[in-house]
Amino acid sequence: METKILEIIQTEILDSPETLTSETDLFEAGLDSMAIMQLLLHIEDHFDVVLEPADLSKENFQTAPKIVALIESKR
Amino acid sequence: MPHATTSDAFLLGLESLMRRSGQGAHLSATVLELDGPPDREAVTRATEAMGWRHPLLHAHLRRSPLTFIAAWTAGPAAPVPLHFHVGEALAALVSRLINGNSIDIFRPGPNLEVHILEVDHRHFLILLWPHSLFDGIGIDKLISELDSTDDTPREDWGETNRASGNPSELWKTAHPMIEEMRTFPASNIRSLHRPSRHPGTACFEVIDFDLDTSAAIHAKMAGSVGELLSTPYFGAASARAVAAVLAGRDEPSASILLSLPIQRVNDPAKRPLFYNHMTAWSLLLEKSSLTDLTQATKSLFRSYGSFRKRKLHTAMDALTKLNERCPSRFYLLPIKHYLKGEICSLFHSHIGEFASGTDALFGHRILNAYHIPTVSTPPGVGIFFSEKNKRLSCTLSWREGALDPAELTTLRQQLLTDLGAGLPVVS
Repeated sequence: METKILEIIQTEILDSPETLTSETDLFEAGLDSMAIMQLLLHIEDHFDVVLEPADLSKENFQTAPKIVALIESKR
Repeated sequence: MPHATTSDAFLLGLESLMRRSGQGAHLSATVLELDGPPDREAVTRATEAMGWRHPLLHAHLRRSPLTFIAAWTAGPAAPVPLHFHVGEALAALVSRLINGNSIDIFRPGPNLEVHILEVDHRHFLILLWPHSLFDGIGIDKLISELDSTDDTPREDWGETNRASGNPSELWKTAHPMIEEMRTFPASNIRSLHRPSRHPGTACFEVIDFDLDTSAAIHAKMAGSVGELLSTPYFGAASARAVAAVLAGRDEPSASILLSLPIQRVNDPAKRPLFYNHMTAWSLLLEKSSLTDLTQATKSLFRSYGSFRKRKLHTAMDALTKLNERCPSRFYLLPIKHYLKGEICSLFHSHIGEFASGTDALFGHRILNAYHIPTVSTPPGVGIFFSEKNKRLSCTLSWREGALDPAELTTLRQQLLTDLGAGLPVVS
């Protein structure tokens, strides 16, 4: 799941030339409000999880492993 | 010289509408407050170098006689005009600049002016620019190199691919957007435009939130829709403010169509300096979804998701490409037809951190910064947000005749109530 999330962020959302890793701070890599909206739609489509407002914190989206943990907690 | 982008066709449509109806040119001002007076000689050298560095700053738009597609025609390189002002009120100066005619994209001459203002021991650097040549991202990039004295000519105009595709393919791609427009009449979409009133000057008000108020606004957002959905949250607040004014006009059932500019280039580092590289997303908020800010934010996010999943942004780009060979006034005809004379209910953007990475200019720290775009009527109003140094700024822009003073109070109060803000500093 982590690989898929990183792939989505790198190729479909940020179009970043830099390789994103588990340690990458996604906000420093360019994840802004517009990118978060795209990511939420991808999470719904790929993992069939709808996140609640309370889940939408910088802490939960800072790195790919944290996003994975959030999705797992909602399944 | 390169052709204008497909987005620029949208901007040319607005420019055409404004000029035909006596609304002047589509200019914007960017205001940066510095913590001290920039050195006159340093600013002079920088504006001279900038003029040499970017030939587009002295180019003008012309339609090709063969393809009819708009392209920029080079003019002689020259320094960017620089003006110094002392003692004039900031709002009065900006109003004079955005309502003036010193920049005309259809005539040879400068496309950027730099103004330095000192008033009441405060120091402002003001950029005046035409929206046809820059979007907000481009201005961010321009600011980041504003104090450079590099005069090597550069060609940072980005997207120049004119492989437009054949019209029948473009029409197929564009068709879903036409179908979307056909659904609009059922939603009773309204703006603040008053057809019976002659459009007047471009008006504005900047609501400048202090650090504590900005933090309180963000805390309220985090408590209701989370920390991260600032785009739909501020969009929904803006939509509800316009809806409040419409309710006072006996239009309580009006729905809101938000025009939201979305950058086509995802990677901020790849976004070019010149031209507009965004697609105007038309996001519908039905009246029933505007009951409270949380609900409206969720609805706007769903509207955004639906627009994306149905690839309406791709359809919108194709529609724009189809129109770029037509006279500018044709561009807005489809939507004005389906919206009975309207374009959208309001213009809106939240650009996030303003000029991220640029904290100082000419040796002085940037204390605050924001854009002041002019808007056309219809829709008559625009609500724009940005942040600098964790301070939030909101620019209310409207066209004289679209809002009377009591309605402006309603608009402002609804916005501040939704955001949970106290009394702001207004300039």
